[in-house]
Amino acid sequence: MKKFLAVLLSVVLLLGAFGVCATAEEAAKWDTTKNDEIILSVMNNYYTEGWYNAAKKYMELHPETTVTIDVIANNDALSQKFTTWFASDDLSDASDITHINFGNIRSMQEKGQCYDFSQILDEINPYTGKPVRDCFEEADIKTYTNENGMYALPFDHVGVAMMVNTDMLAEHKLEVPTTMEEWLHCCEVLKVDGIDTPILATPEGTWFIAVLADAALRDLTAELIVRPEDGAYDEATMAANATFAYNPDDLTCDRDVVFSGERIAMYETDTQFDTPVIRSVWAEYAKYAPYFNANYMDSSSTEVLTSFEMGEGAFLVSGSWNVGVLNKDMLDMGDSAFNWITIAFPNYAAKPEGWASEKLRSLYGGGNCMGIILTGDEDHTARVVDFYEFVYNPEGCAEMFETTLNAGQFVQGPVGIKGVELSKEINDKLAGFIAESSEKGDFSTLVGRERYLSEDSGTYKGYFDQLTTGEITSDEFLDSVRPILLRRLADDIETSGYDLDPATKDTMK
Amino acid sequence: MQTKQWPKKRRYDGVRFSIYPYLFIAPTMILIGIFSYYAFFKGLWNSLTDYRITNRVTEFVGFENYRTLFGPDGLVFWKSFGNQAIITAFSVINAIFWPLLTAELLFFVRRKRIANTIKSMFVMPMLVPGIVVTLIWRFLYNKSFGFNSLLNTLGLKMLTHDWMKESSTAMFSVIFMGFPFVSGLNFLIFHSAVNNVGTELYEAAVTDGANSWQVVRHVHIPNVMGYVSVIATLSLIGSLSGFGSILATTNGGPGNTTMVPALLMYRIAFTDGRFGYASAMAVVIMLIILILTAIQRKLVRGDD
Repeated sequence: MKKFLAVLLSVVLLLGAFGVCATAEEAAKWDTTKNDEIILSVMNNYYTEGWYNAAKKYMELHPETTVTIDVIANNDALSQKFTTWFASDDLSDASDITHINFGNIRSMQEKGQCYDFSQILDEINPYTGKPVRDCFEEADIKTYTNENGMYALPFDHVGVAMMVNTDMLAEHKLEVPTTMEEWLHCCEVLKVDGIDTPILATPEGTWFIAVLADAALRDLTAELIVRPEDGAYDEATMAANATFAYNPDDLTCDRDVVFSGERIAMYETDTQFDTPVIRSVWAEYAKYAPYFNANYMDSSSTEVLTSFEMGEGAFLVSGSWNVGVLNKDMLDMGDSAFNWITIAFPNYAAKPEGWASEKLRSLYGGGNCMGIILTGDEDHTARVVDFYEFVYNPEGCAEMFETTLNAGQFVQGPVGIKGVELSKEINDKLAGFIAESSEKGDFSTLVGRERYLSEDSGTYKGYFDQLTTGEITSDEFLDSVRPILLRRLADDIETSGYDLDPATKDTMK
Repeated sequence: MQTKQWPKKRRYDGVRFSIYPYLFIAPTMILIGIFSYYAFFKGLWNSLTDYRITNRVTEFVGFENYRTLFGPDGLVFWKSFGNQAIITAFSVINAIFWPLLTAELLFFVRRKRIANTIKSMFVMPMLVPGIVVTLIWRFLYNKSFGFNSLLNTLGLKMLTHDWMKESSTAMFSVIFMGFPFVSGLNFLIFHSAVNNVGTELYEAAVTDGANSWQVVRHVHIPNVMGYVSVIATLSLIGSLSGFGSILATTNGGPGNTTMVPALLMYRIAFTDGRFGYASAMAVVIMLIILILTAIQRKLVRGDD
């Protein structure tokens, strides 16, 4: 009997073991007997410690897959990497996961070079046991979706707003501005009091023009989105377009719509960047421009932050990713630190003539835009997607933020995964960046903000700097840069393959 | 004493011996072939195409890129040559004049120990990587620190500038970078050259009553012209093809004030991904470097 039971037990155990193996094989979408390497390229200080930690944890779980973290020094270095990777169609040297927005997403999608996350949204994430979609807000999912699919999953948000030296305002008997008119008054007073540059701006400062453009032109939305009769229309990703109606009182009414690059190009071809409203956007910028630091479009964020810390200006127009640096520097400065807060660009008390709205919406949207480049076969891609899902869930994200903060680094902005909360202290510092709705960058292109080919960048920036320093008027600026804008427009139309007939679906050259 | 007996030369020995140099030089030649000449011919071919990273297919466009470059759309490229001319002129002069002057002055320091100490002091900065030097200069030109702090301390606030951000001072700032221009390597070359001039020549000149200036003018300079020619050529090529320090400081700005052709080419290739057009620029830059080098070699020809 004992023998029989022993044999029976052995058989059961063996069958069980085989069963477990079979389940594991079934669960894994890749060959677990084969070793492979995933490369993740991440910008320095963009959760780098968090990624190292995630890679280590993942490799403990899946020893057959090595995850290598490649830290990139700066934006230029990553842009060059992208150029090098995509110089040929062989992407075997490219990183598997990286900031996909540094490449030409539309081109990658059309060539089938990047992963479309929409195919896994309703699948079960093996690390949560729930559908992938459940971890994200629907609005955030739309952020990374265009007419060709979904190129990343949300992780965090970034924004552009102002950091304000409240001590300096108090010293000059000024209040934190609550309207654009008050902001202008603050700048005038500070300038008279000897502060040469009341507003300091990092290169993101030009987003202020995008904010103005959004307020001025957003009633054009219905004209510029992909419509159901367009060749590019896709019911699955653009359903919101079909029912869209512009409502000036609802700042979120256009949140889910997808703009049409071709319709924008048509509008620009018609207007030639010259309408009364476009002129008034630049005229409005020109009122505030003299209070900005000169040549800020080419400035170094570090240097501008230093100027702000040294009290050379009361307002710092910058991205949420700089809040952490400032916060850390202020702690290091000890007694010489000052009180500061973050605020959004205020609204106008009175709507500028011809504008769509007096309410300003700043940039607030997807931050860390990590996509997947298809560098290998299906087995390899399955591993990459699995690692991605390992991090992109509440538990993985929380650990990523925690490790990052514990390492003395800072987050890029508010969290973008449901169920993950930052501490009150951090959220307070990011408060000015959190917005109900974001401006649509598409209006920024309509007014010609930073629209140029590389060979024209110096000329454009030269005119922009002259406008900022008051050497030329806004009309002179617009007339001077128009040939540059039109050249870029012609290039965009050519490379995008637009035939300026939305009824037909176009493909890139 | 036993002398070494060389083996009798066999018929194929001559062949074998003559192959050795080729074998040794072959790896280098192959690598140069791949990384220099292949790259050059590939660039030449690319310049005749619309090669762009976003394009699905690359098409042969003949001389279209060159037509664009020589047309109104290529204006910035040609304007940037004006900036390049100023930067290169100063670069070549600074690469020769200051190191040569220093080498001459050091020649007349007769106390060997002091001369060696000074020489070491001039050479020591060579140990600092070039990019670090560039970043130090960027710091010196910072609006809040560096030269402006010094000027503020001296009560000369009216002379302060945002040196690299203002059109009126950006070019000067780029040229002035590296002051006092006593580049370690060039100084060492001139120092050796001056000291290699035969002592009998120097002593004969002194015996004939030549003063220090006459020694420099009639003995040293004619004998170091060969070195001058080499350094002029190298600094000319380096200045025309390099743009690292400008990229790291002004990035060609403000506007196009400090833009140079190589930086523009780099941007078009690595920002826009328009390799075809950038290759056409590269070919033109290379031809211009070749022509200028030939002219310069003709003008500054040393005895050797």
